[in-house]
Amino acid sequence: MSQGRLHSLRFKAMGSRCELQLYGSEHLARTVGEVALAYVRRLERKYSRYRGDSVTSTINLAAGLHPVTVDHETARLLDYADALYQQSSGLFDVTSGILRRAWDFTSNKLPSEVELTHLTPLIGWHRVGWDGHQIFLPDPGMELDFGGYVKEYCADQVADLCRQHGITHGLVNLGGDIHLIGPHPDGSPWLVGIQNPRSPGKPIAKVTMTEGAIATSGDYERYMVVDGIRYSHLLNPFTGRSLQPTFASASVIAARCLIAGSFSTLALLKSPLEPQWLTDQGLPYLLVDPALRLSGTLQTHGTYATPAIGQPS
Amino acid sequence: MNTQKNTAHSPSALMALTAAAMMLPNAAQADPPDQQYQVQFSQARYQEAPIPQHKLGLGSDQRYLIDVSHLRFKAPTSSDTELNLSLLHESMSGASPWFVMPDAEGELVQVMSEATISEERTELGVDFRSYNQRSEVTLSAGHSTENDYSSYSIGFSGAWRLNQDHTSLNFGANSSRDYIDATDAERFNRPTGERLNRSGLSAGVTQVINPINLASINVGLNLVEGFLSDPYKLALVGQETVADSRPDTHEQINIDLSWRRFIKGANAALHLDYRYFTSDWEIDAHTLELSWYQNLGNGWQLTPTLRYHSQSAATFYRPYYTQTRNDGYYSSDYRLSAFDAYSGQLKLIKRFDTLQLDIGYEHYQAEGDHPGLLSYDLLTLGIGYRFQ
Repeated sequence: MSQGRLHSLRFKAMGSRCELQLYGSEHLARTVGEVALAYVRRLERKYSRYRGDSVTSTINLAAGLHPVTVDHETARLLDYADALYQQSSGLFDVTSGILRRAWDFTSNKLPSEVELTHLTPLIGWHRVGWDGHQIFLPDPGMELDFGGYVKEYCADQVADLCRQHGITHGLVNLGGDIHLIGPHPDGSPWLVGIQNPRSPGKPIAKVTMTEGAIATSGDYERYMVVDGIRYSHLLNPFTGRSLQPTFASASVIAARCLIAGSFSTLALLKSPLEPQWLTDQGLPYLLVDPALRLSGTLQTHGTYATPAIGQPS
Repeated sequence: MNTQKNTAHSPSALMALTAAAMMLPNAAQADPPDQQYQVQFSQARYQEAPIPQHKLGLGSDQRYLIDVSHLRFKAPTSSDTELNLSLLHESMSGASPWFVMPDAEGELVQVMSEATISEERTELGVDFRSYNQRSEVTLSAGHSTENDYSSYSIGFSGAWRLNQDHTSLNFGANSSRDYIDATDAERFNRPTGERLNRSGLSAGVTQVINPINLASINVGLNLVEGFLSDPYKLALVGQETVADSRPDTHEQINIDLSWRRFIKGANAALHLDYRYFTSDWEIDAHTLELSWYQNLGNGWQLTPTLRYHSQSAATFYRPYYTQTRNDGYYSSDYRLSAFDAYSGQLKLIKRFDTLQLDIGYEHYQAEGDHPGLLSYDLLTLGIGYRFQ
């Protein structure tokens, strides 16, 4: 394949700003862009909470009524949810999305104890019937939400699709979940910006990467400050309350974005009780604490003033 | 339904999550129709080397020269089906081996046909491929015609993808019927109105071992029955020549092993293929092929290939016969003799956005006792274009 120029395709998907950066001819980049976008839209539709015909809705509408037989892809995503649940000792729970009903981060109002007491009994992956083919949510009102990891899964798949179509240099960035297809054509690495958790859109550090994937979870994605206390969207499924993560953000590098994203999320969910957890996992990481101090095994390149996610070096 | 889910804390979260992630389907691994049109044209010249004078008994030393034009067209017919059309034309000239005899010193020499043969062959093939997430099926039909031979074929092949597309089970069945009407039948007492039926079954497994290694095994069974002799060849029995005459069935088994390895540091891929062939005519053959696909950047790819082939002779084959055979089978066809063959090939491809150009050259050389064993050169030029 001729390496060609760098083409950038920006779009909104899965509630985030997304970008493909592909080296190749204009025709190839356009063709691959269309294939990738069609794939993203398909996955978005398939697991949307808002569409009545999505897999998610089909499962949720059958809650308390009957089991639903799912397709192969959904089945393996549910198996992955099961692994996440087990590895997080129940903190990462795909049935916890229902807390959204009580937590409105735009209201600057904390949910009442009564609201939470009504919702927490509807949470619990351990009560879900899942045999590898059929899923059954036992109580009416229970809900499943793939939102916690389907975007990362999607980034991996899109990167694979690009490679399959002959792209060897480029990156996939789905709302900060980044999968590198390959380095710049001359072999030089990408400079990937890590967002400053307290200055939206500005990087706090940059890391150089030639391959693999990086994902960042932070307390800044959705939050509100009430009486001087920061309440983030990271919720404890057992209590329904906002977790107070020890870190403002965690970034993890892995071969696949799904793995990177799972570890960055788990690191924050576990941090109140196990702040050292990520240190022991064997993956390169970068932690930013609430005072914006950096720690971790990732080599960073200082603080930069301009947004740099996915910028060519 | 099992609802037991312990929150047991595994010592390696990375291992557990990676294992679960590995099970996810891979959008890119399978090979769905790419919704593009493709046109490819190639022109090849196949030139057999003249028979060396010391191996020529009688006739022309000039062997076949074949010019092959091949046009292929692929079109998507829906989001998960595609149609492939192939049209091939060959024009052939030269003399062909007739029979073998010992010369005055007892050395084997080849008697060639005298007149220069000039022939045309046209072949049309149609494939319809239908694809879905877990499997795919291809239906094919073909027809080939030349003045003394025509052939009709149908085929079915498919694949099941298992194990998150890491394993693929492949299977196929095909059948063909050929009609043989030899030219100058009356003059040389050659056969007319003969038929030949071929039916084959194949099954195999392809396994993605890891992102850089892929291996496959394939087993094929073929049953050929009907007129299997060569209407233009003779065999020397004592002082007389008799028509080439072979059994009217031929059962064949082949086992193919292949291994593909991507070599990341070199931006290259190694392809190693081995075929074992055995038949009830007692031809046992081994073919080993080694290719190195080297990407050179800027859309260039260079592929050298080496091939070695070794086979034993058919049980009834003799270069010539000193006495008659009880079974009545006679063939001195060099293709049924024991020989070793070597081939070296070099192919260069340049890919542009939508255009691909390729040039290939192959030299083939066979060695054995038969004086008519081949040596040939093949030059191929190709151009391909794809569009939406």
